[in-house]
Amino acid sequence: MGLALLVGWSLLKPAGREALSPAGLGLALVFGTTLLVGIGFPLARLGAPVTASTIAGLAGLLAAGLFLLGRRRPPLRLAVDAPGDRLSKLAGLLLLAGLALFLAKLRLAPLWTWDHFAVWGIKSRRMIQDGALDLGFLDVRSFWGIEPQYPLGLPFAWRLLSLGAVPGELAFKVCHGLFALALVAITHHGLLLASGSRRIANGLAAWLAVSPVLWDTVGVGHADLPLALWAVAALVLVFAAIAVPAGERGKASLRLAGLAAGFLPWIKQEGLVVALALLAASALLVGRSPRDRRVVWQDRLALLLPAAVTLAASRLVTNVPRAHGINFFAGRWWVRVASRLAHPGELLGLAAKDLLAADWLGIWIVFAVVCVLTVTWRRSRRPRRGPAAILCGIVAGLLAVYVSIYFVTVLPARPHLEGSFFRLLCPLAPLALLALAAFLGDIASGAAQAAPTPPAAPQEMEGGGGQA
Amino acid sequence: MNRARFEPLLLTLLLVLVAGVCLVRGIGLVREPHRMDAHEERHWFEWAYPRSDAAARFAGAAAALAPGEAVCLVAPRSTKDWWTFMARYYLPDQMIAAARARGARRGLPPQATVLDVHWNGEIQVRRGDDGG
Repeated sequence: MGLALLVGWSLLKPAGREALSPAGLGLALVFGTTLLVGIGFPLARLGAPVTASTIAGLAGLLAAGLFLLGRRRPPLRLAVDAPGDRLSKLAGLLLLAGLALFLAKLRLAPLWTWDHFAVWGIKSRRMIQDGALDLGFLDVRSFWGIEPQYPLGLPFAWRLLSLGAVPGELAFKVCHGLFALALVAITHHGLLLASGSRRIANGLAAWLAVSPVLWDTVGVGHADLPLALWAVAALVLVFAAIAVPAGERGKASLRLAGLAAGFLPWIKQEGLVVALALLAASALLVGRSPRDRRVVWQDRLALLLPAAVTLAASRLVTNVPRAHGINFFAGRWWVRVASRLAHPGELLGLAAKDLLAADWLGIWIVFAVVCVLTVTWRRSRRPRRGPAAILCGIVAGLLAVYVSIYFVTVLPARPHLEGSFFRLLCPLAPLALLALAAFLGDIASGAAQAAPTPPAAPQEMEGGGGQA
Repeated sequence: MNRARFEPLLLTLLLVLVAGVCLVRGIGLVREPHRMDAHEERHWFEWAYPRSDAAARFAGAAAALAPGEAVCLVAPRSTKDWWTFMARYYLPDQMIAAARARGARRGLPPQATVLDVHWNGEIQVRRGDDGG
């Protein structure tokens, strides 16, 4: 973990105190892990040894190389000028309480559930034999329940972050805990950028901290929380890029955003769809920011090039093709779709039940309200064109894609949905909260523009800073 | 629409909700530290985790096995598949070559190293001609 932070820090070079800010450390963890896995896994497939010394050597080389090569690169700026008040301090305290309860539960919870033992954790524990990557077990018939078609980026990450040792309960829990803290920290930074208000950022981050994304420990040792982390990192870096004037600093943020989005299919199969949706949304967000047309395309290129390389690499090196994995589209899927569409109520009702479950503490209900308001609100047309509309669009679109899979699936549709849909919502929940923050930011921005005289401070609420 | 009008009210409602959730969960953690009551936990935990001592049982068995050794598993019929998956997970340095339900007609090679899982979860390692 320390090595991953070092590599990430060398890439990001956050300035001054920001290097030790929660968001700075979270992003360092994300990009350190991305680089270590992105370079280490192909090397391991080519036969490079995977031991404590080679992992430390790779991390040291990467950190030194990035530090030397990036001397002229602008450091990542994470400061947002949004002063707090009593309500924001109270929200901050509740955020800390939610995180403390999560960590206490994580410590007490026994080692998780079936998918950890049979699908995710087992790959990490078995993939290195005698100091070398050995994926032969994925071909063994008795391992067929292991879902060999799933990407191997995360199991390899757990192994690297354990310095090549077989990860045990403590290693899985430490990784999960740090990924969760990074998710909340980076989401909080994104909420701050999107809303311009510290109390909104603290309040929504506290909501995330007590949501099932963290509290439902069955996801521990699975890939849903890491998928959320990388997706949020990508989106927040796009927010950071468009919050500053066009230039090298913004381009650097967009390159990092592309790298994080491109890593999503290394984590889960649906990561590809999430990555494409995020990249489309990011390209739109860049286009809506105040930039020259030529600069917009240069910035989009800065975003899409690293994403394309990482996405292509994910197809080459993470998915080990196996004939016996489950293919939801197997057989005459169009016949299944037609028969299920004849009675869509059952599947849609079950999906709605998961979205409306009390466990979500109303997150999806509020998201639905925000979507409706974004589409229908006509006093100022700005929200229909702003970040909120784009974010609502991608989250709603991804929800629709997920639900549509249950109409296609070769598995019995009802148990398939009941067994997975709730968990699949976890990576989308932080994005929904970012949409809510962007909506509130849009309103503040619209109100400021509609005011008859310019206000003394840029934000009517708190004199807040960066508007995404 | 002016954010100044409704933001404090909505945020206060949200914070009351979060505070209430934290309070209930804090009390729950103190009273029943190992209770798993989140959505997916309610659905899957009991089904997937019938034994909390599996790690310790397999750690004991691993001490009697050599790295890279192929072993055969014999377990009660009703929990054979579960024990097989756990053996693959907890014994990453060994190969689970075969798994049989206790009393199955298909036997194991007489030279096999056998992991014998008893009804109470006790795991015994047997080697050589007394295997299977």
